[in-house]
Amino acid sequence: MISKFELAASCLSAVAEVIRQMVTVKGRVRIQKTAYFLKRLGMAELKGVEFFYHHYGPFSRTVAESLLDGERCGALQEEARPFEDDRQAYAYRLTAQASKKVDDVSPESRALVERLVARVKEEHWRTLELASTIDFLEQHDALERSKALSRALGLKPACEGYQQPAIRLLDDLRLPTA
Amino acid sequence: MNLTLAMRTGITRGMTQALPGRPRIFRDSIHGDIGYAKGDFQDLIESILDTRMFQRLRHIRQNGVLHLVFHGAEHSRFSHVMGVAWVASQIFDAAYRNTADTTVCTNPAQDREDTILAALLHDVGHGPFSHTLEDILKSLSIPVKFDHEEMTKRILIEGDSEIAAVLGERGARLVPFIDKKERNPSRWFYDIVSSALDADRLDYLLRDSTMAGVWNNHFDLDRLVDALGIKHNELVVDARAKDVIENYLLAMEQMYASVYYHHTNRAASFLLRAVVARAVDVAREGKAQRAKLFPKRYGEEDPLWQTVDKGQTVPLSVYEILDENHVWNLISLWTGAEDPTLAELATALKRRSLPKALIIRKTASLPPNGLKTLEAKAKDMFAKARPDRDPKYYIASDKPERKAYTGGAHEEGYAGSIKLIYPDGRTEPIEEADRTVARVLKDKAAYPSLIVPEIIRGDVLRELEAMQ
Repeated sequence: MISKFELAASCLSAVAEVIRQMVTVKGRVRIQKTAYFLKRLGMAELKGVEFFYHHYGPFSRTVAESLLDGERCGALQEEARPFEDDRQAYAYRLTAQASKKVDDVSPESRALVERLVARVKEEHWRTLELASTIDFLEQHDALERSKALSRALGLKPACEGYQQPAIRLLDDLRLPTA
Repeated sequence: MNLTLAMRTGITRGMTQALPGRPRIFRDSIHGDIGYAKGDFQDLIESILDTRMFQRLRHIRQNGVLHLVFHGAEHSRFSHVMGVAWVASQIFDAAYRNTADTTVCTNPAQDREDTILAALLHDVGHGPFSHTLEDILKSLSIPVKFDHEEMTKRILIEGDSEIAAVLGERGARLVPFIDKKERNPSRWFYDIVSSALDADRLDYLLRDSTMAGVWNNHFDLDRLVDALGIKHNELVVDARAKDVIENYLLAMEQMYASVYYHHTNRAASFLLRAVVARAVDVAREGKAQRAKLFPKRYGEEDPLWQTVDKGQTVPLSVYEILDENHVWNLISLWTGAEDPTLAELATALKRRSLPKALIIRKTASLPPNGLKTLEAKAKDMFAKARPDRDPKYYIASDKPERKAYTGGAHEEGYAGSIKLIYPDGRTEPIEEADRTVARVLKDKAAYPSLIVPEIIRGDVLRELEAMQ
């Protein structure tokens, strides 16, 4: 059983690696959903991190706490940026001290993050939200793809225009059956 | 049948009352007299209360082992859910009345009853020691996971559930109140059972603070409820009651800081987890040990053992006999266990000889990998001090984090925010209002600590001070 401090350190390593490879990550949703896909792809540093269904699909408290831990200890810098419609968005970057405060991930995990980041970095966050929700429903409620898509769109009408890219993303990722 | 027997059996329920039309009253320590209009719905409520699964909640404390720290906090989950159902009924009535728009419900009577029932039953899947049991089962790497909400859903709809039989087709209608994934379409009254301003939070803050004797964390529930309404299929609050909402959010912040996350409560919860974990680990070594530590009950495997073994697929007929009385009996048994670690831990819990939680105050200077290093050093110190004991039952890192106000994350909109409504009909998330404490309370508060036995406390403290 991994301890809470070990889990926090390990999850922050995973989150920091995602940010390192994306350089600047715009949006907490993007980080949450990228971490979800990495967990589904078996990233060792995310072992023990759990996701549950929240307002915007699969969500992990541990990942959310990692952002906070990273900012508190000075490894991450959070910047609040105004959106055009007057809502706020958050952007994350690593600081110069990150390497001292965060452990490196394994070479295998670094390669995994590289592959995933290359595939998701240009996708809209709504695409990530919808794709991760479809997968979550497939795994958690044992729904077939078409039923999971239908349910996900019922839960998230705002994702209506992102069906095709979400399905393409899931097809490309070939996530294993949990 | 003589009158005494009739009263005792309840067969002539209502016939012996001086005022036969008067509803049954439940006298509640927080809300006073509560009750529901006499008739089919009151009968349904009483039938649910009479089930074995529901009565089991009388033998589950609301706050796990918090009574070891705040001696008054002995209240049960039964009293809490009775309060939640009542508050839910008050919220529904106030919001529906204040909105004066009958289109917000297609079937108001049914929606109201469903809301009350969902509130009454939202915690029925909780096991002994509530959230602590889930932590215990997680730490034991059980083959099938355990989640109390899944247990609640099973109890609402599964064929062999006594409560599902009483509910009939209503059971399925209650599921979306419990499980957000099932909310299609979403309805405003789901928020009454689960949201940032739900009946659950409103009741537990007042009840837990009163019972724990922490009276400064009270707020004006009547005024808050009276100010509720409905807009765009969501609960909203009259902006003039912003101060009461802020009182409520501040109470939430302070209850977590001073009561739920009290360092001694966290240490007591850890000791309970360690006792059960050790018992299960020893029992897993062989049938003989298992028979001693988890004796069969009338030829059937022990209900706690079955829950460890089967997780959330444990038969409901077994789960309904698993309460805190049962677990405390096992712990008493284990004080005489052959295994010295188990006997020592169980005795410590029974005598309230608790480990120490060292609070890590300057978290900003300590990154998670620093805390991990501190924990490893503490385990080394313990291994030297007590080489005959496994540190995992004596040392633990604890890292609870909590937002008093779980308002919407801005980038996705304001789902989950508490919305204020102004006279012109405009709504605004409370965190966007001028000079509001809600903005501060959206920040997550962290309470990391390292739980260690007294024997190494001084050495670990010195190590921690050197790191900070």
